Amino acid sequence: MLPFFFYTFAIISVISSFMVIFAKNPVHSVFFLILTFFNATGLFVLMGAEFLAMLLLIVYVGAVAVLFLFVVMMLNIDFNSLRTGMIKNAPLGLLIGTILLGEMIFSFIGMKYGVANKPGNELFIVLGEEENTRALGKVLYTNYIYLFQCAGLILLVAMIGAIVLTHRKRDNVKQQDAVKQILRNREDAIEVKEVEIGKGVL
Amino acid sequence: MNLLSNILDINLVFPEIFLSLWLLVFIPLGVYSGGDKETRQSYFTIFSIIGLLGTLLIILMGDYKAARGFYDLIVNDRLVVFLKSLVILAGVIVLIISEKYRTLKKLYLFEYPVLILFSILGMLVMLSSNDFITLYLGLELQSLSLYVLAAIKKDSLKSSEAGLKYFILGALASGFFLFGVSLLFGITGTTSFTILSSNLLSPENNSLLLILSIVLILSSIAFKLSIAPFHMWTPDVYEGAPTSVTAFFAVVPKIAAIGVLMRILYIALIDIHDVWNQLILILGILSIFVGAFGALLQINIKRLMAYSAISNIGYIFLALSLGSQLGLEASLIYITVYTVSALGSFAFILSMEKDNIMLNNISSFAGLSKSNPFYAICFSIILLSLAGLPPLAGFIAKFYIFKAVIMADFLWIAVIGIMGSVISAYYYLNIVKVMYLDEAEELFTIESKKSVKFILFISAVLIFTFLIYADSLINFLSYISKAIIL
Repeated sequence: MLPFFFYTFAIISVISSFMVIFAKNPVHSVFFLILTFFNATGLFVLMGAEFLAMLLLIVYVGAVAVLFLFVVMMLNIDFNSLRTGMIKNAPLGLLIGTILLGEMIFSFIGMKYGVANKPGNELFIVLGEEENTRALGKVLYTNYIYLFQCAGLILLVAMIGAIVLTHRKRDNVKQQDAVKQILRNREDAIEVKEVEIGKGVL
Repeated sequence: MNLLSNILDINLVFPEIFLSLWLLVFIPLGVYSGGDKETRQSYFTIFSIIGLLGTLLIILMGDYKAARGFYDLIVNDRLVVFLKSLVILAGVIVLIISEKYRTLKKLYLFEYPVLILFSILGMLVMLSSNDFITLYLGLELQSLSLYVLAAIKKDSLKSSEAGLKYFILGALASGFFLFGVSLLFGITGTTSFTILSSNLLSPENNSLLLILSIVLILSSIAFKLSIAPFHMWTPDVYEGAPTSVTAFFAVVPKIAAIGVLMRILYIALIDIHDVWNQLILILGILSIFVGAFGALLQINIKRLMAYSAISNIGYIFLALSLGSQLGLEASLIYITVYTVSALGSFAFILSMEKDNIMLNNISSFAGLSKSNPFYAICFSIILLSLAGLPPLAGFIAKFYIFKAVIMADFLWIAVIGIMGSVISAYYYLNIVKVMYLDEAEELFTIESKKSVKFILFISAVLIFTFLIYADSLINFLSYISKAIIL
């Protein structure tokens, strides 16, 4: 059973990663990217790295790919021309949907809980054994603490870089300042003037 | 047990910890005290220089004895201490000489010194790495800051282009690096330099795949060093980035990458010397000639310095390819001399300004010998040294490179290298000719800060009087290079 799952996930992931490049429509490219991530997740599960698999799903599919989708949708794409191809593209969408559904069903069938009877069979998740997440956490904060902190600094630099390159200070923009508004009193704000009849204020 | 050994190792990374904490104080300080105002610019520069000097002090007060820590992830010895000090000193000097340029170009942002400090922190991590993962994280920390620095002048199209180009190509190079390291991990089962060197001894590991992985790793480091044929980005990025950032690019990351290359080649991969020596040799010769011919027709001084950097690093590659103690020593001498001359040249380039416009064309230096004799003399000394004229520092550095090459029985390579050096002498001498013999359209006086003038003067003096202290310096560098015993 294992080789069958491996080849299914591997072939689909290779084909869909090619499609990321060859698809003319950038939105389709992103969808194929998501499909690639899904299949990579499947491969990780097959290897017994369930923590990495879930991480890939949450981080890449959940956050990065959706962000890509938003960015792509903000690009100047002629959506009317996309809508006209609805019927033509529907089979493709159905195909992707079916593949994803099929993969989910396969994954559920493939997973077995219980005590492993055969050593080396990665499809079993052994109860009571130290799972991936715990094992990773143990080394991450002891053996690899130096690298972990370095990675944190890299993320900090990425954040600073993004702010430096995109933040612009505008002086002429008027902003609401609640404190200033509340502290304003009648004496400062209103000036009463005696106006003579037939003359202006100035 | 784990915790205890980590606590004992913490003094090995004390400089890095100090610099990170300094940065973590720096960022909120910059945000809350108006870090983007012109009046604050010099305060933040001084603040960052103090941080760097504090780090230097901690490095120098630390232990020079060879030691590994954090489960062999990092290493400390005298080579690491020397290169770290060189990186920090070069960083301080770049911060000082870029001060006036930043005021001129309205780069008051406090993030500018912050990013420079972050990239120096990345270089410190790189230099003390004893594992490909540590090396990768240091490399990314350094490069990520450099990408942002290249694009920091947001209103300039060229600066944005430089940043984007550098980022895309740099990301590609990082990808190659990771691919190479993962292949190496697949073959030998380790990413640690020291374990790798013993694992590579067994003959069954010697395969075509191993060569592929080494080619991938070396080409990505060659990219960071702008070695031909991975040099295409260099002239564009050097020209597009703000000149003060170019000064940083041309010197500081090169020292770190050379240090890392020494460690990879001479510790991790020394037992398969016959696999990589021709590779490094060909890259070196190629970049000497690309640097020499590419610079011939340049009229922009920044592009010319880019090609000059390419050919200078090429000489270091020649020496490193030998895999001998002499080659290591020669490359250490060369990188030290190159650092001094490149810093001097950029102190000159950054002070060339007329009516608030930077003079980047070589032709605009005409008549400088009459209007500003001090600058002309200092820059000429530096250029003549870069060209390799006898009593100056550049000659001695090249002499040691070729001595090491000839001692390894590569006479014809030494001849080719000297030919490249002669060709590159043309464009250095051309600038001297423009300054001394060409007539200027109008004379102007350069006004720059005393500190910049002082740095230019010191670098010219160091180069001019090199023969006086050459003996003790070379003995010292030879002692440093013995940290890696072959």
